[in-house]
Amino acid sequence: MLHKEIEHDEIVERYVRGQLTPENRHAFEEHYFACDECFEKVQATERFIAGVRDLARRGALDDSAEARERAGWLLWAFAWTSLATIALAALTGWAFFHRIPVLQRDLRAAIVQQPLQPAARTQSAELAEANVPLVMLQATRGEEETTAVLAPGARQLILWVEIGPTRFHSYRMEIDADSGRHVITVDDLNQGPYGALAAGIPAEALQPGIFRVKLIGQTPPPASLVSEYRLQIRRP
Amino acid sequence: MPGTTDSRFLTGIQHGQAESEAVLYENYSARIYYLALRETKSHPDAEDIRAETFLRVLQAIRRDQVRSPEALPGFILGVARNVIRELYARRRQMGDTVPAEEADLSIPSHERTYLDQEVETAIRRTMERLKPRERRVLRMLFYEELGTEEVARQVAIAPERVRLVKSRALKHFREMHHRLTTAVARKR
Repeated sequence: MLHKEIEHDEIVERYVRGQLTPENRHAFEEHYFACDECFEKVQATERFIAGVRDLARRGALDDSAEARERAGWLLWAFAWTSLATIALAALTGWAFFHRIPVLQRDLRAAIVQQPLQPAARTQSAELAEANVPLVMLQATRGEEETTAVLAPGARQLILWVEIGPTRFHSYRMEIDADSGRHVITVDDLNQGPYGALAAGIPAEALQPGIFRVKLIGQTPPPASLVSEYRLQIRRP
Repeated sequence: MPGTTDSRFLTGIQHGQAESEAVLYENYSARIYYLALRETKSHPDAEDIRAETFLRVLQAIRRDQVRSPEALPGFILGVARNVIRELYARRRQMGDTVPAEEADLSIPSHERTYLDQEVETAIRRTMERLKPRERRVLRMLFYEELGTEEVARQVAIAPERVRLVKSRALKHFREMHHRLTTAVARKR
């Protein structure tokens, strides 16, 4: 009996399971009495089948065992999803109630300490103002806007823009109304100690409505658009 | 098979060399025992058959009744079969033969031989790697004794896939069992 035939006709398994004809059984026994490899396969198959039967006898291979395993997996998945949701909620809460107010406080302190930028020098000293409104612009996603409410006495609105690393040292901010009318341009904006840009826009230029704010990298050339924002102005 | 295809091996046995007899026992003991256990399903009977077989083989070699080392495996098998037949003939005459299927064994006694610690561990780890459907295939094949075509039909997969599941599981089991038995042997 050749190995090719043994392999092709699944002789080892059929022998172990008693499925060979007497003639084939005798032929295979004569073969494995002289062949270490085939005898080892016979013993391995015998152990394997005995093991499978033992597990099946104990119900470990039942469909209900499968269902228990699936339920167990689902339970784990549910537990991890719940944990992830709780963690995300905690992170959001921390960011909203703690981090953002801290950043805004630091920003106001930084503005007070920062030397006057060329654009800010155009404003006179009489424009010292308490409770200057400030808005942090978010990069435009679709038609979402950042909203700023200008109180009646507000003389300016600080636009705060956090930008990531770019090749530019200075920036220009161009503000247009949604209708396309150009409102104001602020040049030579540089990143402050907190890595953000801060531009003070005269409140009278910002009537209630929607504005498009473009941030353009200026130097080194060539200039290019870095980011764009939508800003909604409201007045009480 | 190492050591038994050399004509000096038979000469060594004829001269009563313990080393040659040890090699003979080492090479054929497991085979004879396995064959006897499959036929009788009884460990005491399998041990008796093994002992009687070796006795007759050694006597035959010493009487120069084995033509060549190449003929030895077939000769030993023939002797073992004769010993098994004689055992059953004696039992039938004495009327004390109880076939295994009538003995109401919950687990066939010869299968217990194979369920040692390493087999149980290897089979458990093998099954853990399989998908539920694959475990179901093996249960249907080896426990419910269904044919490959029937299993393929019930599980809604191709028969070739059934064979593949079976051969992969067996391959992994063999590798796992080999690792476990090698590790146990090293500890000793």
